[in-house]
Amino acid sequence: MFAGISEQYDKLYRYCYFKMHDVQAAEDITQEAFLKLFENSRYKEVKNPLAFLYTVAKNLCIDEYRRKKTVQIPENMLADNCEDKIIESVSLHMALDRLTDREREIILLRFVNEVPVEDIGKIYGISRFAVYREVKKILKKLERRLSYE
Amino acid sequence: MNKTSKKYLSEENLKEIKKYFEAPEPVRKQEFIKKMAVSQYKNIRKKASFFYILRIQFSYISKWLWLLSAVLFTGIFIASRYIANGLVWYMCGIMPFIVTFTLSESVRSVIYGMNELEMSSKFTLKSIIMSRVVIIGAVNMSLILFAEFLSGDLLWRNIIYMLVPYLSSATGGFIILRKFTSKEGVYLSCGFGTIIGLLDMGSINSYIFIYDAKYTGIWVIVTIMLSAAAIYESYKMANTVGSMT
Repeated sequence: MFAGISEQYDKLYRYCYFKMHDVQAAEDITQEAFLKLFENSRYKEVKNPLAFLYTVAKNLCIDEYRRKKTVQIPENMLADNCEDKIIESVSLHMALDRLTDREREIILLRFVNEVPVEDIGKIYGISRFAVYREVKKILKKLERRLSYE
Repeated sequence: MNKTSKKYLSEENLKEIKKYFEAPEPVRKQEFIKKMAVSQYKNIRKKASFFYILRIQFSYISKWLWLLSAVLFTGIFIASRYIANGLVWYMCGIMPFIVTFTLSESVRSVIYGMNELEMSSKFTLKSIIMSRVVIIGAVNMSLILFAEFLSGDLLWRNIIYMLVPYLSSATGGFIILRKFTSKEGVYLSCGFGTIIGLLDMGSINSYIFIYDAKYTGIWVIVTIMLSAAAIYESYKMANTVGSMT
């Protein structure tokens, strides 16, 4: 399946937290995604468990958004982020802030959670080459903004 | 990091990016992993094999379908034994109809909205139809061979004559089901099975010469080709079992 369930739990939770900005909701979704994977694996072989986990988590986040209509970003988190921005590498954080949600999500998946390009393609329903192109575009964008600031 | 990433992202920046996406520690992680890892994680490796699906589906095949197969079989067996010879010729024509009945029986789950049940059991409609066709075909084929054996009429050529219409209707049916995902696919495959059955019946009456021993080579080649096509189609359908919903 994949190495280290604990490691994958942390990564998926980070992804869900990025999307939900809520510890409780992020953890609920993470656990539900794992349960769905386990449940599916009992009946059939899940060929890309990582892509499956992220796709389920992504859909569950969308459902949660729809259910709540809008998810408020906690004030303390904004404050924390602002403090962080002041203290350490303000420009990079600001550059990341200026990316679209999808672009940030791709950066998170590729560089923080280290999801293989092929799996990212499966999550978004695009080819590996399209993922490569998009990653390159985002990195160029980041570089441009970093050189500006 | 690959070449492109290295070009744009330094190690320092990567660290900062990771910091940017840092999330608070999960609260219920250990509890969840303890609960799930032992019981569920082991199950991940258990794959639903095609034989597992066959075993499950065997018990779900309608008793009417079994009854119909039994009536057809008994009727033809009695007819061939006491009225006319050549059970095999009748059975050749009957096999596609048995496939058709199986397909039409399976489509009821679509018509009566039983797909939910099927979905909850994690099998696709196609895999269910395929497994039923395989079960019904195998059981009927065994019965026919047994009847042939009882009649003292069992020839290996007869097996081929029965296999060709069965395999062609089953393979054709699978291809149609794969191409047409809606209800129409099942109707078309039923129609296809009927046509094969009628053609077979027609050939028994009008073109009996094609069953001459000198054409056995052609029959063998056709059987091998159809078997390969059936295996290929089965493989394609079985793969849909593992596809994500």
